[in-house]
Parts: sequence; C-alpha cells; structure tokens
Amino acid sequence: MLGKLRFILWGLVLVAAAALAFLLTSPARLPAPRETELPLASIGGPFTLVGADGRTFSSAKLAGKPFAIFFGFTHCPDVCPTTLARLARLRRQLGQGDEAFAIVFVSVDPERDGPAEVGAYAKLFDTPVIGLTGSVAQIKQVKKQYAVFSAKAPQAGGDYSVDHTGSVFLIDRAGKFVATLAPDENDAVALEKLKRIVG
Amino acid sequence: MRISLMLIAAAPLASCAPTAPQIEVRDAWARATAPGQPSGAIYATIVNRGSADRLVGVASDAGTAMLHSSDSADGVARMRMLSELPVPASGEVALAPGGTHIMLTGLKAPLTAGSDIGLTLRFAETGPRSVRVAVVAPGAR
Repeated sequence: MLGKLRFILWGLVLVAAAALAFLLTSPARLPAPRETELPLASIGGPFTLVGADGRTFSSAKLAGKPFAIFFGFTHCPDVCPTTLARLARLRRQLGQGDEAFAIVFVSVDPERDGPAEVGAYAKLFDTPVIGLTGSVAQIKQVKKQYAVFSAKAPQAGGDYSVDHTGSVFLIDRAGKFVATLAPDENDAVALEKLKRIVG
Repeated sequence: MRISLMLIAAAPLASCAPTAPQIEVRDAWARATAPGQPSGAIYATIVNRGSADRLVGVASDAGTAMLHSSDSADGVARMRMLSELPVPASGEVALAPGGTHIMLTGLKAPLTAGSDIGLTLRFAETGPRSVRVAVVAPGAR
C-alpha cells in the first residue's frame, strides 16, 4: 500500500517536471523580436534624400556638424510642430546660436509631402530647420537606419493620419548616435543631452 | 404649510451642490501654419465651476474642426478622433500640445500669427460657447 502511494507521488513529480520544462522552453514565452529594433551603435549612418529645393540631399552635407533629426509629416498639426518648436526653443536656451546643431525634419509621408511641403513646414519656426523628403524607397531606407516606425491611420472623410516614432535622435559631430529625446522628458534633461552632442 | 416646510428643508441642499455647469473657455490659441498646409490645431483651457458637463462638438470658421487626442505610448505618436470629452464638476480640462486638442482640417487659408479665428465649443448641458482663438508664431509656445 505504502509502495503504491510512493509510486503515484513520484509519477506526479515527473509530470510537474515535464510541465515546467515545457513552460521554460516554449517559444511562446520568448519576447517576439521587433522588426524595428536595432543595436544602438548602428542607428544612423549616411543617407540620401531630397531637400526643399527638390535636389538630392546627401547626409555628407551634415558631416562634422551635430544634428537633431525628427521624423514626422506636414499634415501633422500637433505632435510635429510641438516637437520642432521645442527643438528651436532648446537651441535658443543652449545659447550657442543656430550653428550649435542642425534641426532636421524628415517626412514619413512622402506621398503627400513633396519638397515644397517640407520646405514651407520647416520655414515656420523662425530658425533654420532642414526639411527633407524623398522617394518611398529612400524614406523606407532612412526609417530602417533610424529604427523609425510609421503607419497610416485612416481618418474620417477618407483622409489619413500617420502614427510614427515620436522621439528625436541626437547625432554628434562624428556622425555617431548619442541619445534620443522623448516628448515627455523635461527641458533640463533634454539640454544635458544636447550638450553631449554639441560639446 | 407643508409645502413651505419642504422648501425650507431643500434650500440648504441646493446652495451647496451646484445643479448646473458653469463653463468658461480660456486662453484659446493656435500655431500659425505654412502656406498649403491643410491642418492646424487649437488649444485652450476649459474651466468649470459647476456640475459635470461634456464637450460634444467643436466648430470653427477657419476649417473643419474635430476633437482629437494625441498620445505617445511606447514611443509612437498617435492621433485619434474623440467623440466627446468629459468636463468634471468643479474642474479644469486642458487642451494642450501633445495631448487632447482641436484639429482643424481643410484650412481655408493659412493661420497667420497675430490674427484670430472663431471657435465654438458645444457642451451637452451648457450649450454652445464661442471664443476667439489667438494665432501665434509656431515657435512662440
């Protein structure tokens, strides 16, 4: 009788061990890799886009200069102008002039944003902002380099908005990615980060 | 006699609990837009000194107005339409950059700094409230 009970108990232990082993190794437990995730060191790199004058804009024009690059779209009435206005304000607060770092705006909506649209949008801020667009393929490529996500979101009346990465990427003089600026972090933290690319 | 006693009993209750919203729309502003840019955003503060109300409609003479929310959850900025916005009793609701705002689409003309445009907010209890919206330079605030 006692031997039979012991046999049953050992059986239960084996079942529990097998269940645990299954849970630990099951692929469902592993976090799904995100397509846009890149190692931080590889963010950025040379790109070729189209400037507000309709001509090719090569990132070589930014060589030796720190820059803050933001991806948005000109139909965006809230987050994008808020972010660009903030970058303009932070650059003023830094007190080293417009040459301290470049502010670069890249459209993730190349179907609606041509050179004229990004040019007019970039001019709004009373301070130099480089507005860029490109072919669908060029925009796709630069988004990949910066691990930027964007997707069309249909709106009432057949129009669409674009969901997109809201962070600003800070690139230093050597072209190296240093940090991101999040929309909700305070200006003191943002200024410290900017000093790291300007210094 | 009985009726007057009931009125006396009810009077103190009526004086402490507000029975109607008291809505004021303050500091309505918008950023100037670029020529050809079809959309803009209006920000404002809704102050309520009375009972709860709901913002159920928005209209502007500058273009088609819609109530929108922006949020940047998990690093992605998203903008969505809202059908209505609760205005709590004795509270404030801020329509502010990067959050809930009034989106203008199909702008009839660019919004130019220094000008103003009309805005009507329609509340479920209070009804319509019209204010002027100050258009400021995009980098001003």
